[in-house]
Amino acid sequence: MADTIQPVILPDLDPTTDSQGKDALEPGYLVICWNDPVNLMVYVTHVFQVVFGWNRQKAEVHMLQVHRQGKSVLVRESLERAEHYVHQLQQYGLHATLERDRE
Amino acid sequence: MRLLHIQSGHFVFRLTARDRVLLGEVLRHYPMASHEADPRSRRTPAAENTSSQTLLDEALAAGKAEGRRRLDALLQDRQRLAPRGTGAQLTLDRNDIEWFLQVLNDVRVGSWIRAGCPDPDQGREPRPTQATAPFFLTMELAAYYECVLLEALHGPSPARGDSR
Repeated sequence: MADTIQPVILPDLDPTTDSQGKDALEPGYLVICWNDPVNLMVYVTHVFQVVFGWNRQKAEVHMLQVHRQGKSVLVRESLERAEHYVHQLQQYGLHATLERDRE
Repeated sequence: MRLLHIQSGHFVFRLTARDRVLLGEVLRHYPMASHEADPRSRRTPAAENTSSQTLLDEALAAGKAEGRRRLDALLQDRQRLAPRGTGAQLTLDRNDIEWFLQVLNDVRVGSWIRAGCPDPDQGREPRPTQATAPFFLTMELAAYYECVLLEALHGPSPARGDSR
């Protein structure tokens, strides 16, 4: 005689909320800095050093990429951290955005 | 304005009488730039998470309102902005300098916007008029004081003063 199957009660998950939470933790967001004609090169280099803790050489590489190519992808991070970095860059007056990494 | 010395993490600058007037004129404008009025944000693909950008904008605006109060307090503080003859001596620590750079650059960007967003690379040459000339001047003055602070932090740079 087979045992009676006991009902199993599972937590009521909200798939939308769950996927957003997981998504926010994944390093799938790019922080991008865009070129503009107003910020000084030396200032942009300094901001990259301060915000990301980079040495001067790395900061200058990204600054020159912004200058010559119009933009530079600075970091790939979780949504929360990417927003934090965008906020910091905007506080310094740089034109920064975040976008989801499609690759 | 020039760096006199660095002592116990404090950067001491000498301001001439002219600096007091010109720096005061630059700082008078703060806060000046706002993300909504910034044409740079319309030239790039729409940022994802527009709602979070709205929150960022609100946080930035609140931070600038607080920054204005902090700036007024600094300008009234005789320990940190001490009169010296016809000029003054300005004492800033590292955190003050970071914040001061943000203040100066806000005025620079705000002046650039009010000057009509000149961009020679895009064929928009600077064309000062009677109405916009003061903003060109303020923009360059803000850049000058930014460079003084950056040089105090990092030393002279070959790229100093170059505009992007």
